[in-house]
Amino acid sequence: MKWLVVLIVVAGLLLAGCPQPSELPTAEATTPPAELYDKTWISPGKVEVGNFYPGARAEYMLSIHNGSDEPAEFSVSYQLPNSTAEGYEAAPAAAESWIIIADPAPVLAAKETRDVLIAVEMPGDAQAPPKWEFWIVAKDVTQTGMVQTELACRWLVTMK
Amino acid sequence: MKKTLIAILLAVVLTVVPAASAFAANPVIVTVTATPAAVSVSVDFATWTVNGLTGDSKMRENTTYYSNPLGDETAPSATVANGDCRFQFTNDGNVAIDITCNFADFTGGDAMTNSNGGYTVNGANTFGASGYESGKDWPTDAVIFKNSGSAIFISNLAISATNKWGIALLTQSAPFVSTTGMTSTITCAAVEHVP
Repeated sequence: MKWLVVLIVVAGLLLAGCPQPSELPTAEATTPPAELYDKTWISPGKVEVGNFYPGARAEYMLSIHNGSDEPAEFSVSYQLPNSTAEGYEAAPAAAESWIIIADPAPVLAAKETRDVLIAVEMPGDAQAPPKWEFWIVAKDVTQTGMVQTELACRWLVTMK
Repeated sequence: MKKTLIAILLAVVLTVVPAASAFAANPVIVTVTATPAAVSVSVDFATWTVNGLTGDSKMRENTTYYSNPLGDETAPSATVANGDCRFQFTNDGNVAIDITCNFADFTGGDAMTNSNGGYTVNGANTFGASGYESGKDWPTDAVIFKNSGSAIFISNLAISATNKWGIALLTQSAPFVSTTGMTSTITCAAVEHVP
């Protein structure tokens, strides 16, 4: 009977030791630059996803800082790029439905920095070019005036 | 009974071990990398009333207006000077940026829509708009402001650098009939510059 227990333990250890292909890729969070305390900014400026494939998921936190003295609501949205990095092409039309934005309308207190989870989850039967790009855009929607600004983070995706 | 159980367990282990080895040999790893960098931009004098710098703030049809402090209908110099420009971008972040500007359709009143053809292209109910940048040639270097997907207007603006710029707007060709004011927004997106 003791042999049975030993065998069960060995089998359990072997199974636990298997690398799991479904582990989510992650990267270290960015550090907010202290000298930009009074400015509104986002970070990072670009996220590079490598070895991506249909059925895979990648995610990263977008940091948004409200540099104003008043609370501000931001919109966080997917956008096709106005311009692409060399060698990349704009994301396919279907890609918009692959993007998950955890909080698309965060309200930030004055001087607050908030992380918003951005994920791209490509369906198993979807197709994409070898190298494609999309933008995640954050805009302070409390801005007034005819000229307004928004801040974009490039996502550069390279397929396996 | 004991022997049967041992046999079953051995079979399970032998089945699982090759599968585990296969996973280990070909792991599917998606990589995600990002360098810490803050993207930030500000614009001075973000307000503009068309024909309101030196004029009466009323738009006339088929007329080109400029955000030029020297005159609402005064074109910028052949080489655009700072004095021709109302607006100024400042790169407040810690990475070089590209800037693109989209000019939305007007709402309210006669509700002109963007022709997406630049400041020389209008229609009965469409306007055209372009941006000009200090130090560049007018009109050859003007950049069309579409209602979406405009090309890069300011390229590779360095950290802490400033850049003065302006807008040229050709109004619709048909007479305005509404007495209600129209509004629009020019949204300028800053993105990290990449080669």
